[in-house]
Amino acid sequence: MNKNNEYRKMQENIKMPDGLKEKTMLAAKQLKENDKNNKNENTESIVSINKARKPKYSKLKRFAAAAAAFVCVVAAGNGIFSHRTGNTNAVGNNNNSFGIVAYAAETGKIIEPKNSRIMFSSGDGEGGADWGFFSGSLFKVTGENIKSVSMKVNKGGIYRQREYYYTEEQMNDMLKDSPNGNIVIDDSDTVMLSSDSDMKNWTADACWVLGNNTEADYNAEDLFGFWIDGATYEQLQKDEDNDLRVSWHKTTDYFDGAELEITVSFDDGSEKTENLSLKTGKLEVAYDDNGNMFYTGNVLEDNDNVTPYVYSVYAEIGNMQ
Amino acid sequence: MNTYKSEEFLSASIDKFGDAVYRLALCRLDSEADADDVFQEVFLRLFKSSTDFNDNEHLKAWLLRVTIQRCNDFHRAVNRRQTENIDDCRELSQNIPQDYSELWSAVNSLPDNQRTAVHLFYAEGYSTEEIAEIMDCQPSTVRTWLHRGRKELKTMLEEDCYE
Repeated sequence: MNKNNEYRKMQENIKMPDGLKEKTMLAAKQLKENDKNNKNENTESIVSINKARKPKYSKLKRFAAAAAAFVCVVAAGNGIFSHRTGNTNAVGNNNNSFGIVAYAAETGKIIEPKNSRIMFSSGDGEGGADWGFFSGSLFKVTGENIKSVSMKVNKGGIYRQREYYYTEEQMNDMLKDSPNGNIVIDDSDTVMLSSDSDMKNWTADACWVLGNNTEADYNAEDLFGFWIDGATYEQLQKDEDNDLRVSWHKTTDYFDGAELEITVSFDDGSEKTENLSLKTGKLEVAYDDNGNMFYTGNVLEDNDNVTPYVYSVYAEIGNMQ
Repeated sequence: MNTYKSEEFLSASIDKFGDAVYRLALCRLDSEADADDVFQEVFLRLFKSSTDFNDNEHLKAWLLRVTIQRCNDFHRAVNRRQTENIDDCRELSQNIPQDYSELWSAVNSLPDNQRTAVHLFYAEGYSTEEIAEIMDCQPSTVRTWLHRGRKELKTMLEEDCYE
């Protein structure tokens, strides 16, 4: 169904009924008048002037995903991703190394830290009151001879994400086997789907909540992200004014001030720890000649409404212990 | 006392986006009476809103987002539609040409999120990224809903009705 489609033609026949605008304008006048007279009638009682029946309203369980952006961390500079030990922090065995880099899933690119500061991509996350908020702001632990990784965060939690790839046929089979549309991969807590423009090739990002204090065997392909539990997330999403930016910023700001500690254990028994102080703000972005957005590494003043930015999370990297 | 938008602003907003709000509400609720209610609530909310809108696109996105939220509230109301469907079908026939009744029924049989995504994509012409902002979710999720919605429609309609 393309955009010049039968559905659109059908919808073009649908107009707001005659008189509805006038009723609404009248209700608005009454609302204002009542307010002037200090009457304690709320909006809904006035809206109901032409309807005897009204439903009881419940608070919204908002389904969301903030394009909150998060960080990328780094203990070492360039080349961490390629595991060149010369660029990472060596400890114990000369070949041991440990680094943390942010990963922008939407472009598949690494965001390098600058001046001990890492900026997290806005990412492709997902949120819901039932399963919590998966920020989509991802990072990877990189290095040589790493045996296990442990993480502690004092606000929210951490989740692990792994990518799986499917053809259209495979995806259709999976959907067929999940009548509610909730695909599960290896007991994942959620699976986020995306596809190329013609929907022939699909990527499934399976996520598992690890909590706020976790340890796991090292897997170089694992991605990690920041997570908020469902109840907290629902509270954050209660935005009476419904402004997209307000609810977005509120979710992002949850991580402001959080402290993340990442410790790796090497095969030889030695350990190394990295501390990250998370902050939020307007992260300056720019565009290359091909129109691809990138983070400049600058954090803008709150009152800067001119420079392009993404409101997101970044981290100041602490000293190695 | 609350601060309100001007009546001129409200009137102009209804003129410009009233049809889009009404269409979305009707698509979601399948009832003209309920769509009327949601329409009024949405614009009264706009009247009371303190949001400063950057431009018409920002305003339209805000209106559609609030419409979706109000429709979600309606769906949570107790068993209303079960007792009202007969009247609603009669009302809808005035707006929906007979040729489209099958398409209307098929789209309205989709789950709420799929139906909303399909409506915003095909009727309002939004991109998946724009729909994600309006529906407060990620573009990948919207693409999933569109994919599933199309698949469902394929099983319900003849090929030439929607391709």
